[in-house]
Amino acid sequence: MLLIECPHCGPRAETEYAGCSEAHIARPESGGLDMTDAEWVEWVFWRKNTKGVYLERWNHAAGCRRWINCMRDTVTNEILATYKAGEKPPKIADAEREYKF
Amino acid sequence: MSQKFRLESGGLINRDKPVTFSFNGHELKGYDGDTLASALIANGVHLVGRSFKYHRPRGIMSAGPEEANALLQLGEGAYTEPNARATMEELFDGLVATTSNAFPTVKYDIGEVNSLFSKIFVSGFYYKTFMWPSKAWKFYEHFIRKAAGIGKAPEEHDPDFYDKTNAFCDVLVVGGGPAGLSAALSAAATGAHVTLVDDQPRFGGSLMAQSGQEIDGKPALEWVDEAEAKLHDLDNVQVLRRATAFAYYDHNYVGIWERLTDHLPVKPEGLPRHRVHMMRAKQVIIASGAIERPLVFCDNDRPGIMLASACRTYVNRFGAKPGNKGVIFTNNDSAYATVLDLIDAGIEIKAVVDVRKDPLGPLMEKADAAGVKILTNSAVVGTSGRLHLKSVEVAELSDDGETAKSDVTEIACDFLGSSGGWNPTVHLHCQAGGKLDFDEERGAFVPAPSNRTNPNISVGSCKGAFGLADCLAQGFEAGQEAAKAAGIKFRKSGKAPTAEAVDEGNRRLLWLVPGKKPLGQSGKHFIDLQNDSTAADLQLALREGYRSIEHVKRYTTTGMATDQGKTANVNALAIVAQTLNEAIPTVGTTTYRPPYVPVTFGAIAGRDIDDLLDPARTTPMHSWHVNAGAEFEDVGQWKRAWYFPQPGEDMHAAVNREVAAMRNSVGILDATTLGKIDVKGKDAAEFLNRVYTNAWTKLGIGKCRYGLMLGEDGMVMDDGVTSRIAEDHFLMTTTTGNAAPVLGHLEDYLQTEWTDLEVYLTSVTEQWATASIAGPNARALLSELTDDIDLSNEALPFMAWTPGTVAGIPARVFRISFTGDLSYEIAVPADYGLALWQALMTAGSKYDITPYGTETMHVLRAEKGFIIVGQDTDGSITPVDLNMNWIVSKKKGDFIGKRSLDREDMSDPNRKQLVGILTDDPKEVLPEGAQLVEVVKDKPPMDMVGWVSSSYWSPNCDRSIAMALVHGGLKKMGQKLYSPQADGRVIECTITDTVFYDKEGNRQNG
Amino acid sequence: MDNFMRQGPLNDLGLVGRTSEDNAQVTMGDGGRPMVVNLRLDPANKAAMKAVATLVGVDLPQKANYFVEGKETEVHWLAPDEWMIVSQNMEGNELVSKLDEALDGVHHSAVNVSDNFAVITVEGEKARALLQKAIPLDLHPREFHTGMSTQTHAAKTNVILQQVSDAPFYKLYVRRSFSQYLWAWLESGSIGFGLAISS
Repeated sequence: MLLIECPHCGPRAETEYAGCSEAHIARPESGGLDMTDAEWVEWVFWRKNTKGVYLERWNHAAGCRRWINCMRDTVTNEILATYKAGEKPPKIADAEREYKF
Repeated sequence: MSQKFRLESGGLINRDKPVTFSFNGHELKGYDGDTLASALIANGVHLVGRSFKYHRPRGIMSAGPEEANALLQLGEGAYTEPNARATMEELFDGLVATTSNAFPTVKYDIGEVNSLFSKIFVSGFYYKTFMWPSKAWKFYEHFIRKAAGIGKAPEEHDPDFYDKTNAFCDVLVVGGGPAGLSAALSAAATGAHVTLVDDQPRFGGSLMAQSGQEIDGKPALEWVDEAEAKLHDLDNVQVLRRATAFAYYDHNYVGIWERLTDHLPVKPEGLPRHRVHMMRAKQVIIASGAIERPLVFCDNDRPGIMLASACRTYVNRFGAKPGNKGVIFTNNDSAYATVLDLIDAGIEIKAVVDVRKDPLGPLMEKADAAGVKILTNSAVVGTSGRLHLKSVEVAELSDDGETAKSDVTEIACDFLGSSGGWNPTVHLHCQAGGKLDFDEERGAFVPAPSNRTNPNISVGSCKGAFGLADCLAQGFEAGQEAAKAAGIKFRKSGKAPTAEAVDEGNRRLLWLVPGKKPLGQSGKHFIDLQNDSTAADLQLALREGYRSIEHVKRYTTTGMATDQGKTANVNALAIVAQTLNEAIPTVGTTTYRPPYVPVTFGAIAGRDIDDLLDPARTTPMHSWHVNAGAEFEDVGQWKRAWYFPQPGEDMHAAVNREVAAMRNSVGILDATTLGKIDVKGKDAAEFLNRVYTNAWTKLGIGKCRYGLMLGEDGMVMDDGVTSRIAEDHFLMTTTTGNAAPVLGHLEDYLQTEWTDLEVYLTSVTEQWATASIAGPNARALLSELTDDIDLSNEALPFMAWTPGTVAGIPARVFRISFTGDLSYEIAVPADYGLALWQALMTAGSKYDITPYGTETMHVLRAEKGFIIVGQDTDGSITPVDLNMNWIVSKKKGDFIGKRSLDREDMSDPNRKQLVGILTDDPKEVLPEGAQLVEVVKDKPPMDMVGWVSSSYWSPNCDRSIAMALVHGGLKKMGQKLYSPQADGRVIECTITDTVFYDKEGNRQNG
Repeated sequence: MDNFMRQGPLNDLGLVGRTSEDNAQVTMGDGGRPMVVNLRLDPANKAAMKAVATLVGVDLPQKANYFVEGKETEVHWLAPDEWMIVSQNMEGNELVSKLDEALDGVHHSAVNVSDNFAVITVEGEKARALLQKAIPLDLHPREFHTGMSTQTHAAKTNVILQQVSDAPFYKLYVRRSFSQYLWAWLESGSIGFGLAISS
């Protein structure tokens, strides 16, 4: 069971959290009304399945109910950072762990 | 004579406390402090079971958790437990143990004929034999399961109780041997919160099996006792004995399995049998020791053949003799410690067979000086003795060690101790994602530094440091290092406990000891004793083309038994490497997975059993329903009244009565469980516009509206009625099971997408209790309980709500309907729910008010064609598929799901669509989930065009009704469909629309 | 409104008639029916925060996982813009009206959720050991102590956990439909500790 630091509440057990999906997938302002079917399908369904550093969201459901962002290495489960919704991911020093948007 | 293999003195047993136990019906004696295995050995019992595949006689082979043979059935009746390792079970008065895998007795087991057919029991046997014909598997399986056995599970409910707790510490130390104790002492001195766990009843680890060791100038066990006393006195230290760290999960989350009562003849009340501590440790120190590796030689499985260190443990720790005359077979110096201690105990060592050409080592020199016969460059090439070892055959090795010379000497003996070196117990390190390095010199995998996810430090022999002095020094260092890493501020002080450094001598790695004939031609070189897999099996798998060690493992089942190959795996992969002519690290190890040892299910479940397995959510009216004899249905975690049977009624009769009563007079339903969300803020209406398919801006205060909520994929995810409380204030309802996910979904958009919207959401699901009254007399009934609400159609029309007082309770009255009849939902603060219900029942008696449950509600709504999200939808259904285009606003701009509804695929006329289904025989009720076809064939496969989502007997229509999702269904009105049933019948039916009753809707507008 | 009509969610458990075990090391009880109001407000709005403080008698806590006590109220931090106001004396709808009035024109939400919760009290020598079985947070006083209040889960239900005193004395605010489950779970977990029922 992971230990995830909520940027609001502090380190909490994974069992307090719900949801897990790729972060920083902003909803198009148009609601996609100006997008082709193919573009829209890409936005709705396609997510990265990164082996390595991944930016993802968790909802602190049993805590403050805030959605938070998490930078996690999917191979080792190391959590490199957590940060509030709306914030940019922090730079990480380790060059081998470059992440791509 | 009792305990004729018990030494006259010595051992950590309490000779003042004799213990009586039973083995295979024989009453035997042992002492307090014995394990079941040591007591059996003291009684001269080695033969304890039959092997898994060949039913070969097997004896106790170890003295620890690695035991592969002595897996016994313990206890009786509901308390019986299979596969208990005799080496880990502490002896107590009244313990009952029996052999598992033998019929009729362990000495005469008819399964032994399997040995004669061993040529066909080769690797991949199950795969090869039973893959064809596939139908025969059921036939074979019966016999295989019976023959495979190893123990039987209890059939009764487990009468014991188990406990589980969360736990936290700065430094967790796994293992109470010299390295672990040293680590715990040094970490504790820093003020860190330390937990020390050990799987034995007392600390000391390997020291208990040794003699003559000294730490800080005193006898080692004295030092252990002092260390333990010191740790006990510290407030910042928790000490758990009989506790195995069995699993290492990510972020230093370690499962510890503590056994509290297994060793007690009388189990104290109130004490759980086992307790699992789920420990979140900031740092972990692994001091789990090492397990001796057996040498793989021909017929190495007879009772009396043991690990050399086990022989030593039985003598030193338990005062029990493994036999009277023994042979020690080794490739390293450590086995000579056994030789020396056994000689001291008066046991005759007929010879030490040492594969080394030129053995070096201080212990060997001592043994040599004592006149022990040492046969160098030699090997045991065969053994004899059916039920117990009688003799071994020894021959000189060829130069390369690949063959043995033909000149064979037979040595009579009644036990053999073998040592092929030591395997560090790296299981936890590897479970934590740690990598291994290969120590060429020792032929052992040792832990590389831990990864950052699970910071831990291995110390002592589990790190490959087999000398006592190193163990103590590494433990001390690691204790301070771990405390520092855990954030403890301290001044370095103290020094490591000391012991004399001892030279380990040299080794000769001989993974596969040659026999008299080439491998597989005579006798067996067992690798995995529990799963009966041999070196020949491995080589066969390689010949058949398997290369990955993970595949070889599964094909040969090596390392897949309950002991998980603790003594088998490294030998197996070394032999694979040797056969493939590859380096051992290239072949690599199989994956180490939890649990390290078998853990009882009860302990893993803890208190989450029976009624506590999952929360049962109840409404304020629950006790009333119980008293009224309701049957309950689980909806999500809620207990909802399903129907209220009267004496003699089944569900069918009860539902018919409830439906009729509601349609004819008035019924009452507990509707409390619907999710409720308070939506507040100046942008509330705009927010609703975006999350529902229809328009909300113009909904008047005091009015209600039904909404469908979609996901971004355009699929229906929830529905419910939302009411406008004020200009900036709404009350949303969700389906019962979906309240929390919907709130999360809505918060997601507010927090991350539409942060400019001024809307706050608050869950009020449980603030309100709701009674729904429905039927032609609902208005009359309600009017008797309120004098401040105008219930006229004009003042409170369908889809309106009003605050007011009902039965003296401040309430919100909603005129909404899920039944198609005149209906009011009355919501009051939950504390008053029961009072409201009782008031309605009392006042309603003159109308024969009838409580009804969810089944009747489902019938009533189905009669009206109202959907249930999650029953008539499955995450792949759009509003268009439901023929609910009317609820999808064409005028609104964006809303969640809108763009997806415009996708080309969504307008495919052949999508599954919700339709009504009428069976041609009106008495026939289709089973829910039934498949529908257009063309019936004799047997499957047939082209399925849809399936039945809702199906009921409708009392109001006096016939069965159903809804189904059918491909292109909306264009197929009146078309015939068929539903083939499992019993061969075919139910004929016809597609219709989904409203079966009161199509004009006059009743709800009443 | 007659008070006898009011039924707290733990009433069905019949705690009043329950006898306590000898040498009980943990005491559980029904924490009664306090007023509870959920408040959401942007903490950056200083004037609004001040207005609320005046009404409830204490500044809203902005430190995560803490509660503060006013004369008649306790205010628990739930989230950066969310608080739980608890009072034994005030009435929920009345406080909501006052808050709505004081925050007129300010984006906020004050909702009476008094009936939403049951309150279970747990105290005594083994209170922490008992709760630690259910709760995935470290309850050692160096991590969680008097003055703290936080949202977490206990067994399989969400709770707001408050440590009231060093005794230790804890309160668990639990959704009412889960309260009988949570009580039964904790009672089951207390086997061996000896359980007393506080009146």
